[in-house]
Amino acid sequence: MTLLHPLALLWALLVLPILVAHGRRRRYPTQTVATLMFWDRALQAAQKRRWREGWRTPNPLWVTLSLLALLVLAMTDPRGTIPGPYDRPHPAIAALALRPQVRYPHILEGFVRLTCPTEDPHDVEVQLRHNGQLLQVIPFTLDATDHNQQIFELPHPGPGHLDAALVNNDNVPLCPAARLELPAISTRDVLLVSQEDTPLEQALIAVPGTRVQRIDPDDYAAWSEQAGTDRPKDVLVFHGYVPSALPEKPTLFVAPQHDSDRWRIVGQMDEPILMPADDDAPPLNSVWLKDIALGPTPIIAASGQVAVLARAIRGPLLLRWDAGGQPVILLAPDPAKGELAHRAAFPILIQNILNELLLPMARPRHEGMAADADGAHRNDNSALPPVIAITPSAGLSGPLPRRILLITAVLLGLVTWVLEPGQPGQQAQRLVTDGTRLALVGLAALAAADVRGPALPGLATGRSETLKITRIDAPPRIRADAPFELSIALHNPRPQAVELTIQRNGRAVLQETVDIEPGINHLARTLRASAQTWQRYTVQIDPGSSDRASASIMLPGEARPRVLLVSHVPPTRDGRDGTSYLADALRTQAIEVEPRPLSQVPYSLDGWRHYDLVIIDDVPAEAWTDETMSQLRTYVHAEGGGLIMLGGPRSFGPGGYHNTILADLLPVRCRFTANADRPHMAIVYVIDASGSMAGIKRALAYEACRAGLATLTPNDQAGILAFAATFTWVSPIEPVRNSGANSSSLTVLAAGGGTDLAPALREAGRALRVADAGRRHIVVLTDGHTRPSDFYGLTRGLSAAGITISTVAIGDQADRSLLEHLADWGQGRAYIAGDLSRIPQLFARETLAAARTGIDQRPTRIGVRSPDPMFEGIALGAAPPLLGHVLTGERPSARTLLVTEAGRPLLATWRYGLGQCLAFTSDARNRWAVQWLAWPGFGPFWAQVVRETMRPFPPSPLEIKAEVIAHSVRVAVEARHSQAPHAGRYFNHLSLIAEIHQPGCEPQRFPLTQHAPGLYRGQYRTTLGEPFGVRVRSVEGKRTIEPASVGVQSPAMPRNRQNAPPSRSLWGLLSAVAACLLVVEAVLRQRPGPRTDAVRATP
Amino acid sequence: MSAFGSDFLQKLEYLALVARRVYPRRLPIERRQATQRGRVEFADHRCYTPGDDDRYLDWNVYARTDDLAVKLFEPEHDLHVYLLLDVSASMATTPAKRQAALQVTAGLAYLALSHLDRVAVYPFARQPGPAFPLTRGKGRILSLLNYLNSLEPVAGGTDLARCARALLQRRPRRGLLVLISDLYDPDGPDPALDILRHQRDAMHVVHLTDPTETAPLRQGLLELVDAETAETRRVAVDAHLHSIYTQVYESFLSDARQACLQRGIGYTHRTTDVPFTEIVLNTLRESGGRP
Repeated sequence: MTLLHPLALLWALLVLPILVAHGRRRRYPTQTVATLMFWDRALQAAQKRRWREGWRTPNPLWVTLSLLALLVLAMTDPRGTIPGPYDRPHPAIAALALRPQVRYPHILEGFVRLTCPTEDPHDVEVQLRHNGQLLQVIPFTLDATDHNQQIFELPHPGPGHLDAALVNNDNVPLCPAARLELPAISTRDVLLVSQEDTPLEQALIAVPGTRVQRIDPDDYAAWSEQAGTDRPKDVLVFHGYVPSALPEKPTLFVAPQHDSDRWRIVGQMDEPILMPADDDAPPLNSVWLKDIALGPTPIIAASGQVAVLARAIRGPLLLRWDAGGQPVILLAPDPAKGELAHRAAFPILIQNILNELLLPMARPRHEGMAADADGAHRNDNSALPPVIAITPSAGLSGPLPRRILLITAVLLGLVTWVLEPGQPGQQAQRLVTDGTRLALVGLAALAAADVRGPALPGLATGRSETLKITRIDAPPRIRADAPFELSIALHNPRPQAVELTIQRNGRAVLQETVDIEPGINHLARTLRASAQTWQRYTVQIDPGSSDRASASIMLPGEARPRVLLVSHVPPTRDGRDGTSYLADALRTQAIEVEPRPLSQVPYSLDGWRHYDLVIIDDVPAEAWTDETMSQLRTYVHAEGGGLIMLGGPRSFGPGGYHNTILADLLPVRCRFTANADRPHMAIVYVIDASGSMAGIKRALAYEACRAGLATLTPNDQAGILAFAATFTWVSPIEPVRNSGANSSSLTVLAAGGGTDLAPALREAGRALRVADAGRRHIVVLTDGHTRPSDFYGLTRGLSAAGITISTVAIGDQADRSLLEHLADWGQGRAYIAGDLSRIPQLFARETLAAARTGIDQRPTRIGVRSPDPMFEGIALGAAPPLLGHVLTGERPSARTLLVTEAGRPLLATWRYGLGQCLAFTSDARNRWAVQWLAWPGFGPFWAQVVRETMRPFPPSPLEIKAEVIAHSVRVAVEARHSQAPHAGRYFNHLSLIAEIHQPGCEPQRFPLTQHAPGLYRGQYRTTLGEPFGVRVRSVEGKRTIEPASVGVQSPAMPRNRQNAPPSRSLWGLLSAVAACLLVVEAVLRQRPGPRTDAVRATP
Repeated sequence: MSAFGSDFLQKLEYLALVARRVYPRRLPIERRQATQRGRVEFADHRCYTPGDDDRYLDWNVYARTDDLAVKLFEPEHDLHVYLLLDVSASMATTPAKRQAALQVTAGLAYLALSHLDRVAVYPFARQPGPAFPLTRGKGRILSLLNYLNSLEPVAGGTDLARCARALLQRRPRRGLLVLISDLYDPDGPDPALDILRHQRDAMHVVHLTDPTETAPLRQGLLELVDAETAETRRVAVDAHLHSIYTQVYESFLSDARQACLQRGIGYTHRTTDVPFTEIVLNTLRESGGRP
């Protein structure tokens, strides 16, 4: 019976009895009933089919043919030459492979590769089963290409075998299943050096496949001495303790309490909030640790090339670097404190960190990690010869055809080896990349990879024959007229000098001769983008022979960056005011600058979004409203905008920015009082306490005095004199170090009575004359008219005694004319406080101005504290001196890049939320930087500073992924809100249209349809070659969205094609011989066995 | 062939005697029509007692005698009896069924005529047929029997609701409705009963079925022909289907009974192997307990 075809059995068992039973028409006894109503109901209830008329006598020809078919089927071997269900041109599994489980034992990572013989796209799925139990279903949409490959990753289910079955939508298997024997899970030994049992140890124990040993820090030295004889550890974890010499093992430091040669602890953060610096960082994969209160955490300042994977605002929380080829991760917060260990994500974080430490080094590194040139673009599979089993594709069933095919395959394998053999190191790779060509070639290569031992590599000739560009990398979007880096990876067979030509839209923009080495070469060139919407960059490598290589990439061009330059006063008509120098310099560097006075800045967040950077040039703090400052903070923090504050008499501390919203954004401290060489100062605040000052004005006067006192040094002296019809000392003149008493006594300022300023001024002058101070100053605050008196004589007398007077007028009732005259005669400054809430800033500013602190007007040369890409190409050593700067304090978490001769901050920057803030304490106008204006580096310096600080690109709500498969372009778009407060939410029900752009061609359009929340897809068959650009825009309607673009490079370079072409070698011959052996073994093994055509590649 | 034998008139006379003796004044055809108070005849006066309806005070007597007297009435005995006879083909699947239907109709009509009521016969199937108009007096029984004899089965199905609607339009006034049928309407008897009940006639249903309809005669492969529509079904009758059919039929009978009783309609079900006199007497009896 085993020789009977299944269809024959089916025919014999089912069809034939029916034919026999109903071959002739039957006569039935007839009975008349009153109604069929009840019969119908009964039949319906009985669920029986009604036997109706309609049976016919079968056609004798049909019966004869059926019998003949039955005869043929009965005599046919089901695996014979007559096409069976498996032998039609169905898709088939070409390869099923696993990565080696060396350091990553509990995760199975591998891939399935399918062949598709027909042109029509197939929707199939691959079912992965472990010992018959379904583990994962991988859906495929197949095309007639050899790109049908998907990577899977699943937990190691334990020893046994892994089957991959290819089925269609009806769950019908399309080809024999492929099978792999799974290796056993290996354990990893972790040494925990910790004082006591902590949540960290529990989390380590919870990681599958991990064996944890804890020792006391005191015992570590002894342990490390006998480590050679003890059981080797895979990972070392130090909790709190830092050894004197870092071990040469993958290491995790948790909450270090001491410095080491790689980092130092510069402070402590209380309850920092974690912000992932890199969302794709594997340690933070599936870990949600935002908004939790971490315990007191040391602020780590690391040296060298270190990747920050997560950070808080004040400092990094999770760092990674390589030490001696071994990965090291530092987790700054202490799990034993704060909420970290109580979160469900903590064990996952620890597991991810362990996996990251144990991951083979060939894995692509994170952004920010200084990767070596070789590793930067290396394919995942390149360093990992996979253990591979090959399933011969469909068509190899049936004894005779199978033999013929096997012989043909072996012959083809030999021919392939002769024509295109592989390098020794690339053997396994070829198996992956070219599996569809012929499975047996892969078998041969695998055999060679297995046969090749460590003692034999010297036999390789290693010669390949073609020069090939394997990859071009460029930013996804480029700014008009802005420089960007084009990175070219090319494979070179021999050392030679080639001519590198880069063309933009057909016109050469770069041409040079380059010496390149054998193997993979990486060339990076900085180009300047044009203003065109689509820019096609073609890279040509010409070695002078016919062996040329060429590749292209299409890049969408964006508009020039826009900068808003905010100044205090409107620009003059001739444009020769102070701000025009910087604006002109930036314009010559292809940056759009829009100078505006503060009164014309945007009044809403939408207005700020139009700009990529905001420069504040000498605008006093009291000129801002709190709302505008909040908008600016949101613009920087949530929208990623850039902010630069330039120095000047009205900037930073002298501008009254201390304790304002903008002061939080600045990477320098505005309150800076430590210039000891300044003479001591005595100041008296003469405050109007008449009846009109009651209420809010009195409270603000109190705040203003506090703000003024806060700007003084402890050795300065201050007093407060309240006046109405008479005067009274609220606080007599005394050193500010006792300012606690001063400020508390301010609360007794009582409002009431008339206004008589002259006696109060006289009293203040009398008190100041006897004060022991180098400078004496009076600040008058009033809101009304005073009794007439000889103010001129009074103020001249005070001036003669070295006492200066400044005045602050509140409200419309104030006698502004008198107050301005008083300030004029008293050689001070007059202020009119239109906005009452700005009075404290005015007082602070006035006090600083009177003390002449906060500004150093001595010429200084600039010093570079740490080099930065921001100054690349700028000869800062040749920069002329600056004639003045604002005194500020350093912030510990900011990067102070430039300093003055005295070591004070000149240029500091830091990241604030999503944006970047920069402070330049000198100016960029003809005051302090007058000598810079003639310096050739002035324009480039500011252009580079602006480009480094500004928002890279406005956030786009559309994230586009375009790929070319066969002759189709597949576009997938993810649409999300990019602006606060809805950032991250999906856009649904959009009507999106994708346009394919190519220079000189009309754009080809096709619609995208929504497949999931926020996910839109579309496919378009096109005859256009690569490269091309894809632009996605929304159809005009209720909901429109800003269009976005992406470029596709040419030739299309899938991941598995990025490797060097194979070369001729002796290993190819060995491969072929081994392939023959393996194939024969497979045939012998399969002959008596079931229909599973899978073979184990490794015996 | 006549549905009435030579002794049929004697049986009718006997039926009338028995009926009068066993159910004096309680025959459905003699029931007073509570709803026809306006069509009654004056009988007598009696003294007013508190609680009497003052609408029946005789003010003329009061004017003349200063005594309050209440008028007493007696209902009119000239009742209209409408006999609705199903003459669809399903009522003639067997001769006995047809005969039983005609004899029951004749019996009820004779009782009514002998009690000086007016009788009309309305035959119907899918639609109403030519009616026997309202008639009065026992002398008309022979012509009624001739009329019944002349009725032939009508093929094409039964539509009770449509015929009920037509009858209500054709009859001169309200009376007693007696429906004699097997109720084999695909829609069931409920719509028709709702229509007939609508004008608050007194009503009774005589449900006649044949014993062969209760269960099929034999098992095996059968080709069943619908007597009314000539549709056929090929049915393999086995014990399982047989039991299901019996359940379906039983539920039909109980549903019909339930439908009548829920609407306050008298209901009598008999198979046609029962003598017609017994059916008529049962009809009288089963309606007698009703108020």
